[in-house]
Amino acid sequence: MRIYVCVKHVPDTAAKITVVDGNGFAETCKFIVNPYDEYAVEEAVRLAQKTGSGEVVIVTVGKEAAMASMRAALAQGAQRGILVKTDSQFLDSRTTSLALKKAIERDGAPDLVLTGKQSVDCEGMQTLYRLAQALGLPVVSDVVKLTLDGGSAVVEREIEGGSREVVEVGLPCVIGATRGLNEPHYPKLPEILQAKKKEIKVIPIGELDLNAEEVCTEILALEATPERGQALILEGSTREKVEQLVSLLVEKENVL
Amino acid sequence: MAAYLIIKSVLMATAIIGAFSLFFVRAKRLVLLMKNVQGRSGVVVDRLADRVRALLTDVLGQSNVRRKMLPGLAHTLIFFGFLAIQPHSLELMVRGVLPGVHVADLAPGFYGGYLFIADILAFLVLFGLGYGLYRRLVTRPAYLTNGLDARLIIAFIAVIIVTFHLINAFLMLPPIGGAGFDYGRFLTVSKAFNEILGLENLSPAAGRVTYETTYWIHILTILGFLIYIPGSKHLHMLAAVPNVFLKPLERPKPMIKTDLETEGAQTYGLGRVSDLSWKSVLDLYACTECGRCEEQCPAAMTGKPLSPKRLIHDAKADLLLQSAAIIGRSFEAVTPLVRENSAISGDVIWSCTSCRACEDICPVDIQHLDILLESRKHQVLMEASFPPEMQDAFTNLENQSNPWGFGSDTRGDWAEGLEVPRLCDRPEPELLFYVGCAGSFDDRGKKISRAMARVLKKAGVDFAILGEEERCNGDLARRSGNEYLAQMMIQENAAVLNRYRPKKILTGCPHCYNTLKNEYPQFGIRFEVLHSTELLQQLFREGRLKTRFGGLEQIIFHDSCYLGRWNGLYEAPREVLRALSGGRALLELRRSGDKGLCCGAGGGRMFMEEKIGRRINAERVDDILASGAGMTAAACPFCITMLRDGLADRGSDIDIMDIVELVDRATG
Amino acid sequence: MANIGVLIESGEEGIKETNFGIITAARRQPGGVLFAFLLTGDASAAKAALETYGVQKIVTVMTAAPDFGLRPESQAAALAAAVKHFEIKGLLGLASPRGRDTLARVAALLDAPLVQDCMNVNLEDGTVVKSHFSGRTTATLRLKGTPLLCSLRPNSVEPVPAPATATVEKFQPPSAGSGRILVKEVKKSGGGAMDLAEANIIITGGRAIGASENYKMLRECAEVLGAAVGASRAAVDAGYAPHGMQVGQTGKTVSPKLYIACGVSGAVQHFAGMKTSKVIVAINSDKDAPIFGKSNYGIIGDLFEVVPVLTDVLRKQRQQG
Repeated sequence: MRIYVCVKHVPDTAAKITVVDGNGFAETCKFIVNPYDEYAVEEAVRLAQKTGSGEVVIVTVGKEAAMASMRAALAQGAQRGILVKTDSQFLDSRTTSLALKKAIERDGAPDLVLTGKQSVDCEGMQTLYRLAQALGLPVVSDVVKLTLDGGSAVVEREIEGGSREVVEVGLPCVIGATRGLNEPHYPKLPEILQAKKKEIKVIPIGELDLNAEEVCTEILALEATPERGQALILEGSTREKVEQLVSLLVEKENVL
Repeated sequence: MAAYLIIKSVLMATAIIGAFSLFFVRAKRLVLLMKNVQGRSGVVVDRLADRVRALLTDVLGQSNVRRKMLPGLAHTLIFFGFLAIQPHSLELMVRGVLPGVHVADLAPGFYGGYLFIADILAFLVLFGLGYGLYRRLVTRPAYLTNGLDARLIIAFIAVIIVTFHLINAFLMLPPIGGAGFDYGRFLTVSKAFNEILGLENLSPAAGRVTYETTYWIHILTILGFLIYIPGSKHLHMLAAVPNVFLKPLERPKPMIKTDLETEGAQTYGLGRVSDLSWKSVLDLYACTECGRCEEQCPAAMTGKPLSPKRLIHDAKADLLLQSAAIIGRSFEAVTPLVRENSAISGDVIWSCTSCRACEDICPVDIQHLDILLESRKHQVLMEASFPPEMQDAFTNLENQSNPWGFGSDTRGDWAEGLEVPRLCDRPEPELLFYVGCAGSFDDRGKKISRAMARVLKKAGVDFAILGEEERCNGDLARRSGNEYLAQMMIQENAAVLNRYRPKKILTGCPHCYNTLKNEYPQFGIRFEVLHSTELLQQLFREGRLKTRFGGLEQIIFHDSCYLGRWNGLYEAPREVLRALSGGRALLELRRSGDKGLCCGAGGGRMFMEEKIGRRINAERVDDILASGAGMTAAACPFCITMLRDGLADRGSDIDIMDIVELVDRATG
Repeated sequence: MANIGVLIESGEEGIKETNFGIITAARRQPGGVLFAFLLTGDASAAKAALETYGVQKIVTVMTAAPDFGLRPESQAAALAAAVKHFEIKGLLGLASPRGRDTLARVAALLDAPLVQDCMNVNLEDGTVVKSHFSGRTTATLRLKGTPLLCSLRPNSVEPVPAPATATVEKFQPPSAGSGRILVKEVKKSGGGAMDLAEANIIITGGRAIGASENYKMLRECAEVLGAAVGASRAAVDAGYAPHGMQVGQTGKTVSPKLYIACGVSGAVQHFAGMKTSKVIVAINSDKDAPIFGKSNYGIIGDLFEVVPVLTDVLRKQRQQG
């Protein structure tokens, strides 16, 4: 069974983002595997282990530095990787999904494609849908449980209020993983060391003949979200403070 | 008679050869085990003169043993008495084979003097043994192993001593001891045995028979004991001496550095007993099961499954059980030390706070942590098995260089408003103030850092901080067994430090202090490192700090394990506190100094959940509450967090502050 | 003069109130006709409400297939057909799990630009504003191509009534096969609590809550407020609340207009999940808690004292007002 997992190399959610040139950011901050993609990698590795003959291939669209995240995914148990090398960190979802599609199709026929439901940098929440469309496969996202059953998969996906939809989807398909699907395991040292030697094939994005001009979204501006200042601390007895608060919320802030 | 002597000679020779051979076979097996284990030790056999001196004070002088007074005294009596009678017993054995041999014939004066001393010392052994029995039958402390082994040994020695006196008592009779040497002149206790038992009144035949019986009992017991030694805790008699000789001569001791560079390593850390180092095996042999480590262990005393004594015992049992496989070098057949049904469970090795009370109190210098922390390494690196709450801490350490995952770019934010220079702007200050993770991100820790910055300014110290460039020193990762992450973090931090090459590094956290000072040199990075209390001590002595406000009352100091037991810094904080109390003598907690109880945060435990037994910090708070102090001082942000939480849990309003904060307050 | 469409989402009790803000955002585009598309059959019930906010054409989009409602691919294909049919130049929807899913499918089918979870949209110049990097930055993006698709974060646009008269019609594209995805069942979460991500007001209890029973006090206050109840990670880790209630980096990201944090220290990880709230009120007994440095209003006090008083004051106010 061959499972492709699409992994993105993104800035750590704890890292500081310094806006540069109005619409870019300083890429010297700490980068990690997109957390949602980690669930996808873990699920893929477990499925492959269960079937005994599975192969998990990491596919990434990114700069050379993205290899660090690919190595982490390989340490989690994937067998090899494909990097579609680009020059810029930001790529719109249409281009990314086409690049992924072509890289996958060049490599082989997927039995399953797993990825995170969104990336924590651009938060596009759509690349996997476009990828599925391009590959001609069905897609289900926000998945918290995945079971393979013959020719189809049964998944549970999160909808509002903590409720879940149980969905049956034909295989092969594209699955968008989210928190709750599994707990990614901490890799053992031999796995980390071995991962350094696993194969990563590099394909410059130009080689894939995508129509680069047909970009569908572009970033015009990026601004650091302003920090809220010190709170206005209310004084008086408890009742006085609360009454003051309520009147502020009703009259001044208009939120009550 | 002559026939008997010939038979006796043959039997004696056989017995001696047999016993010694058996003893050597058993001892050889133990040595082979030591030779065939695969681990690497950190032992450096240097400073021979100091080591010999250690043998004199610790072994001959029994100084370590007597840290516990009564049992120590009892052991000293047993030790000297037992040693004293060895030449006598040896002479008896030789004479058993060669009847004519008498040292008394060659050097009567010397022999007489020896006999006099030996006779008295031997008798004193009985008092020692009596005390040992009393502890095992009457007081029965929980930490003292009270099994068959101990009682057999007491029995063995008692028999040997009593028969020694009896033999001497008989030797006073001319038919048995000959007329050449006046035994009675030099014997005191044995003489009393002679008189009380009325041996003079026995018929020569009865006397001879009784003597020979006593003689054989004596010799056979000694030979039996000899054979018994390698399989019992009395192996310590042989192993303790080399173990003391090889002990770490200095208190500060780095963890063993695992080789992560060499490719193709099959395993890391201590997974099976065959992964022990020869020195750890010697440690196992040296254990006397005295239980002092268990008595001091904060985990053991609060109901955790960890007892350092049992750990040593269980490891030794496992080693001996698998000795065949190890000596035969089929290491894959050796079962893992920490496994499903083993006595050493995950909870055993993860309960440790690495306070080193066990290593400190051990009379034979066993290095328990070398075994326990190496086990952790294996669990983390090879099994990825560790308390689940550590996974986030490890990930955060790797990504943002602090266990909580705060943005590393905010590391210098604690200093906002204080105008503290950054090293990048001022690369050659007198001092680099290395703040550490707690000091940078923990709300309480940040207050301490701010106090430190203010105090340094008041004292006119030229200092700078790294700010965003500072990286976690790697202590948490290392103590938690994640050697790979720790070494990565050490290299990262080292790169930064090497770029600036600070003259001196100051730190307020004993964990940072210990790692920077004692473990970084393993990686080729060596700087002069000071703890805040050392610096404050200096500043007070140099008159660069003066207290302006009234003396503090009733302060009591809680020793941090990583300052005290790990680095010997007991006096500096006290001197500073005395300076703050107007020279007044300080109160001491009932368990302080070397015997100070850990707060429970060390060994990575700060970031793990404490679910078993009573909380260690609660145990320590008992000491604080019992002291009658109004204020507790500490010198570690983790101690402060643990004790503050512990005091809050009891609804106490006793304040706890870092010494730096107290100095800040007192110096206005 | 472009036609703009809004995908209307329904819940248990008819169409969701959060749709109205989306309609207001869609209305900002002058000229053209404002369409409301429903993929379920309660158009007439919703007519009055939709008209209040300015919808001019209400279209129920369905195929004849009986399991249409259980087949996301069919729904997306039908909606895509409707977009083409009605010459919709811009399609907006709720950035809810269903809304995001449907819009993403439509965007993929039409190869059209889409931005999800926006906080604002300018249909005239085709730009949107949304969070990038989990709230650390705000990005302004331009969408190139038509139609332009956009899902908006619930409560990000204030609904403004703009009464209009609407016609109701049905659009029934031919079914294009049953698709490969079928919803078998919906497992409801226990308690039927208001969804955090869509709540307009949230009151959160942190570690200081001390016990799961103590959330009752917050629930009482929430009831009067019309709020959802959240929890910090520390409270969830301590077992006082289920993970579903967790707000924060590792829980839910919320954007209510009012966020009341009780006994929450305001650590970075929690803050990341609610920093885009319009107004933040902090109630904490520790005057040095970081949250006071990041909120609009603060009360230093014991939450067990303050919250009941708040409930009481609000009740009295409700009775009067």
